[in-house]
Amino acid sequence: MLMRLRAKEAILSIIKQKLKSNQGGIMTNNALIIHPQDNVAVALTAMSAGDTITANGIEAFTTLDEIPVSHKIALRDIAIGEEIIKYGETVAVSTQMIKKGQWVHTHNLESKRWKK
Amino acid sequence: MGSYTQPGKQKVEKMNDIKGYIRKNGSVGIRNHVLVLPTVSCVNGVVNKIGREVPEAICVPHAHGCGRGGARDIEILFRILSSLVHHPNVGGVVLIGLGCEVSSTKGLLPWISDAGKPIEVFNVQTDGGSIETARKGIAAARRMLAEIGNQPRVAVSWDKMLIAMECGGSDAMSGITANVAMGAVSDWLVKQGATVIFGENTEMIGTTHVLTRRAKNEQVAGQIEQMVARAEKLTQDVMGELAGLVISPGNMDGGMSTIAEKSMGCIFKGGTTTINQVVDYGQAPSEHGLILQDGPGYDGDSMAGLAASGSQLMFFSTGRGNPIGFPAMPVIKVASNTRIYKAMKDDMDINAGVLAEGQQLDQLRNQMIDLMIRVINGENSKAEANGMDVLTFMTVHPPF
Repeated sequence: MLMRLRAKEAILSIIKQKLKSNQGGIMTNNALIIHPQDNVAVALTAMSAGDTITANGIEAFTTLDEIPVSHKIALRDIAIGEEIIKYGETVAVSTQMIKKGQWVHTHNLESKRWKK
Repeated sequence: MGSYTQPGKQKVEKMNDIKGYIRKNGSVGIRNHVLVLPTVSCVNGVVNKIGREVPEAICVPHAHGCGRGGARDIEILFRILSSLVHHPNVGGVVLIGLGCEVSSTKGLLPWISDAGKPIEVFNVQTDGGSIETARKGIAAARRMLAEIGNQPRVAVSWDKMLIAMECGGSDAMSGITANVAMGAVSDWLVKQGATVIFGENTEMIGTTHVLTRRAKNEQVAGQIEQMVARAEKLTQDVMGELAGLVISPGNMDGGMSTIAEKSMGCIFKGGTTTINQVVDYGQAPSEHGLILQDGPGYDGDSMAGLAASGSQLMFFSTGRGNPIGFPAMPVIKVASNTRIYKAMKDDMDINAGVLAEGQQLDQLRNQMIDLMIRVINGENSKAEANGMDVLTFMTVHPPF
């Protein structure tokens, strides 16, 4: 009986490992770059700091912050006063130095039109 | 779609041919409906009665026709009602009037006399009351269905097509998945020589610099500037201190940081081509390519304006899930996320949520083009099959 249980556990752990490696193995994009000129990507799932970001046409890189789903991630370092480009258009201006992989939102940008 | 290359395969020729009904004025319908239209809400009951007896006819009660005297409201009223009579998807019209309303059949006659399709007119006050008028209307609708029923579909070109792009019941993914995919379809349509139209001026606020740069000339740029400025002023006048809620806390929770970013997600559904014309609410464009309509953001009102412009078909993106359709104009619903696509699968035609699951934009775009061609050629969209028709349109002043 004990032997059988151990065998079952062993099989289960192999399946678990396999599933885990598959998840890592399949390169499903977890971010979307809407326009080739964009300097931000959109998170397609909620991410934690240290997660790997994969999106079309970029090399995988690491998040530096927690990123809520549908929020923006910097695709490269963005200087203070630089434009935030999404949809290939300026949607905001940065108010802080933003590092590649950081969350981009109202805490580090402002509206060009309506100031916060 | 001319042709496109599938991965690992030779270039595949795709069936691109569309067929429709050619009207006397040269416009092309993708449906051949008999429309039963009340001139005023007072006779809705008569129209509903006809609808129960003749379900093949498109019967569209509405809440308009009287009670508003302002010049702008009257202009819109006559334009919308007459445009539905003129609509290319309509092959014949039974017009049910009352007799004493603002948009009486007599008043409408000069607007519709050149429609080039069978129109039969009845008035409740002079045709024997509601029951007798319904009886006459039922007979007329049946007569007309038989009369236009044999009209053949013939091959037509894409330059006869006006396709509307609309978003409603949006969520944070609408501007990321569904509207981006619709934008890709818009660009494809313009390339085929078709015309694409979208409205919802309140959802253009903050993007004047983008839209004007894409305008065909200075005149169009000026019209865009005025239109968006008016929408912004109206928002501030009506909402006062709450105008900032146009970009709401909910929007911000969804990742939209600025009004420009939110509006970009809206206007992206029209694609990226040159804006060739700005038309008034319900007005038909005279140009091809991408057209903007100066109309409101509220779904039903916006849809009526776009349909009145002569749109034969509409794409409608939704993230929260709006089942609305429009009389005589098929509406293709594009879900922005897989959850709502599954939760409302009887209402949703396309799942743009697949973009968030690794599917390529090209693939989704081609799937949408394939469906669009099938719907143009007669396949029902979900909202069409479900009979989710609603007619309501913009008014400026309250009734008195």
